[in-house]
Amino acid sequence: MEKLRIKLWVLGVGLIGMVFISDLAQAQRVRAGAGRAGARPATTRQAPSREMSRPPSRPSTRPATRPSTSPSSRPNMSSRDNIHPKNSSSRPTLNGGANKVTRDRANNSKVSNIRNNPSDNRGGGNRNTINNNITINRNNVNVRNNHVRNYRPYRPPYRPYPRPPYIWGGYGFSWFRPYYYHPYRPYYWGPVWHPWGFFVAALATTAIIVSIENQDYNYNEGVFYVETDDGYVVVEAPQGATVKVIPKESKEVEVSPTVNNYYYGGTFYEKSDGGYTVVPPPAGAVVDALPEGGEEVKVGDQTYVKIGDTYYMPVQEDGKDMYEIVQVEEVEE
Amino acid sequence: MLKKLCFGLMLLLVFEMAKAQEKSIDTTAVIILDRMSSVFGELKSLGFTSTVSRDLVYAEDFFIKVFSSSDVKIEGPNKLSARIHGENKEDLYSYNGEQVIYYSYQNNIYTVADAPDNLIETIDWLYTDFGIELTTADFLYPSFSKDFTEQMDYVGFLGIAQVEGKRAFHIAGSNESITVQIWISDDSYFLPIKTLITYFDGPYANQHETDFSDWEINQDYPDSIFEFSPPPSAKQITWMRQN
Repeated sequence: MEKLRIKLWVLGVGLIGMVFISDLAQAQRVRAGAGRAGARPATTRQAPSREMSRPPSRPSTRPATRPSTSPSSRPNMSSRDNIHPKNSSSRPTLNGGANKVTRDRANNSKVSNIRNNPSDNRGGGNRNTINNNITINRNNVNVRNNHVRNYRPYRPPYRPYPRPPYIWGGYGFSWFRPYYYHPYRPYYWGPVWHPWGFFVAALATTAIIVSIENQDYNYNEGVFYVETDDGYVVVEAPQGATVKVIPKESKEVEVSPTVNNYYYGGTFYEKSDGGYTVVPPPAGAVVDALPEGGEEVKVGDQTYVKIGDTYYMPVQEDGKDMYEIVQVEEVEE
Repeated sequence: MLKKLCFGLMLLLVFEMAKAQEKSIDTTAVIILDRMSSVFGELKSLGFTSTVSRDLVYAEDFFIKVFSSSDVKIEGPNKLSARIHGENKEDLYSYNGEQVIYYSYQNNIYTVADAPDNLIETIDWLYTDFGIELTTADFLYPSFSKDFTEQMDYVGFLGIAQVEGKRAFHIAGSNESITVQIWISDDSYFLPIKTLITYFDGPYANQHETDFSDWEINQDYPDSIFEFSPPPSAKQITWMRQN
């Protein structure tokens, strides 16, 4: 009987012990779970700090909200959590959140597509606003000449491409040489050469007037200008214009076994009866330098330099960094 | 005689019709796939390394094999970081819930685009707008088993296999343009160890093989790892959309 009572007592203690321990274990597990879930309920984790401080107008509001977190407003170390709400109270961290020296920089979205050319509008430095408005005054000059009749961003090569085009956004991109990325570093063709949009108050006496499609251009040393109220602005060379001389620094570019073009300052010329005529860039040909005013664009896996409407692909020839003019034609999908 | 002929023809017709509609879905395979999908559906975060080899048409009658590996970290509902090591490039795709950033380590250039606010839409958007295919992401979503059984004409459980020293369920699915094989680990998580896709829809059949390793389940990743700060002298370039 006594033995039975002892056995029952032991069993009772054992049971209580088991229940207690399992409860503890449960509590531990729940706490761990609650800690996590509470700290980061997957859907709301970012909400308080981020969405309040930078709602739709992300890039513009961000700098404005940052100053409050700057060191000057920081009274003492204990307010660290307020300074960095992102790493704060609701989420236990090793050391209360990082206290960074650098500020997070807002990354601005820069996306385009082949059909529109939003990024042509660039100003800065000595350059003027570039847009398609033909009004002539200093701040509103159309430096592009893609409105001229028969304008083409490139002219097709004399031989067919060996591979089918790379299709992107309804356009087929074709090239001959292997892609070889090298960064776009604009080239300057000396002190008398200027990029599109560049303003000069006066022209050299050697400048001549070239007229095409009822528009007068002033041409000097491989650069075309349009007169404005108070000076002259450099514009894209108008295709079809013929000039008597081109700079002696012009380089010959092989277009086909029988035809060579001349390249200077981003413009291609073909020798004609009256001198040198501005022609569209020859697709498949290569040049070793590109002027300022282009932008690098990532199309699929490759990065091109886009100047005006023309795409140049970085390639290498004989170990030298070059650019091949790419054929970009609309395709039916 | 005529009756017999008619009967024979009818039989043949019925048989052909039955053959056309034939769809064989093995329940064991579906249970295993369902289990894998439901584990993915319940995860808060996931990290893994995938090693990919795929056939690439280099020229006519000329295939080459291209290798790459990716370190992927995904956190629900809207964070992703994938660092891709290719044969001649190293790229990073980073999604912080608001923007996707592409960065090329080799060329020190990056692109930024405002993205949808959740992972599933962002993965679709990356594909439709920028042609970026995160193939591994095709397997890692909750409704995978449902979509898989719908799209495949045949889904079967091919037995237990040993893959890299681990017990794995070998499951295969096929339709007229694709055969998919998945090896799913026989442990509590039912995570894929290997996938092998054979495409028949091009002029030549070609394969895409992925090995998964280094799984990290429900790790609490710091937000900072999904943020991108451009390295010094990195240049932002324009990202061309397809549409």
